[in-house]
Amino acid sequence: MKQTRLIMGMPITVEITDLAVEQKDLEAIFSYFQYVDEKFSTYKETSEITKINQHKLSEADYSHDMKLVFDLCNETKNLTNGYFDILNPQGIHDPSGLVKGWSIFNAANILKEKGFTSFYIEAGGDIQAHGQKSGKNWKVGIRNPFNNNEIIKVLNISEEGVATSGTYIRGQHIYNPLDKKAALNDIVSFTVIGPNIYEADRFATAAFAMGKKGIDFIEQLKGFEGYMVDKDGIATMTSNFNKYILS
Amino acid sequence: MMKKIYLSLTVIILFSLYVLSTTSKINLGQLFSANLTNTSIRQSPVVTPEKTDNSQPLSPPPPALVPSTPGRYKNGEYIGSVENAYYGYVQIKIKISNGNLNTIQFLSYPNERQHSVSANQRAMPLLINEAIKAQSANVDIISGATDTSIAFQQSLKTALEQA
Repeated sequence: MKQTRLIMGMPITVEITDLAVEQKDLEAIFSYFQYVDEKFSTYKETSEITKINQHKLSEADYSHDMKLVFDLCNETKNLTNGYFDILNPQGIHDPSGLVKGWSIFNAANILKEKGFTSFYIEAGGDIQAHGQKSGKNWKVGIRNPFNNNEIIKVLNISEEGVATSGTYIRGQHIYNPLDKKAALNDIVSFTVIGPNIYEADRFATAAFAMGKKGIDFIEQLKGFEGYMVDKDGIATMTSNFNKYILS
Repeated sequence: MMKKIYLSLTVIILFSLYVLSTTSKINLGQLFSANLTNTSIRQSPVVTPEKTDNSQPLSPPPPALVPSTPGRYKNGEYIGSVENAYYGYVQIKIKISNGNLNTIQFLSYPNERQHSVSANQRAMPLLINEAIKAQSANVDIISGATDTSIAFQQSLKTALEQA
């Protein structure tokens, strides 16, 4: 069974190829993402993160998941020398760069606990796979940042998490009046493969913020591989990335 | 010795450009863009050093886009819908000139990854470079930076519908 729903402002797809899957199993996953959205969306007036940003909630009263996410964000900030930082220039805490991968990882664990052996969850381009599809590893394509209809790399994935950060907009030299001093990021797309999507996503977020140096960061990180595409369509990959390449 | 002079000159020039760009609102990306078309070159993006008078700041040239079907849209400025890109909102304002899409401007753009990059030049000889190439699209799952682009396309669509 395979379904896609729009939650957290992005399409979320769940595919389970085990024969014993039922609609209620997919509903459990979409409900979980709904829960995450209600708690962590900075665009919802009633969310816990909005209350925190409006100083209406003290740290002692944070929910268990909120405390956990803040701790993970702090840890990630330290591991990335501050390139991952949930405090944005407006003074708002926005943990979405970690929550996305973290929630996909949790949702995948829900399916594992239910006993499913073959599935993937994909949310806004970030993927957690498990098992295989019809006896073969999952084929994951990296989208061409310059052309949504093209794939530039096909990867061989089983248990890994695959996260791609970036935007195709940078490649078009469109003027951003909101941030005139910001140098246009040279990198348009950054894909990280890690042991799971939570890890891949948090480091893809940080690596993208580092610009061209992001690939050096991933190269030095044990257990992670990266594929970085610049605005001229030149890709740089870490030294063992090719073990995942199918084509 | 010559190498050092060239290097110092380059640093000085780059630094001057940086200072000028921050005081006179020039978009540096426009200066080095390989995609400038005739319409943007008409308003020269190069800053002349004596123009440091801030009462008349130079405005950067509007980025030009490849025109679609000529005369397809009504001239004017249109604002697209506010779209949720998860990491922030995207809202587009467009300008139609001579019936074509002339400028795209962001009224709202997610800025979750605005970190300055420190220069730490270390050689990484094991990294591999290649030009990206289209591969077979026969895949099970697709990984790509979709968030902002979907919101961008949506906002652009609603702006064009008004034109």
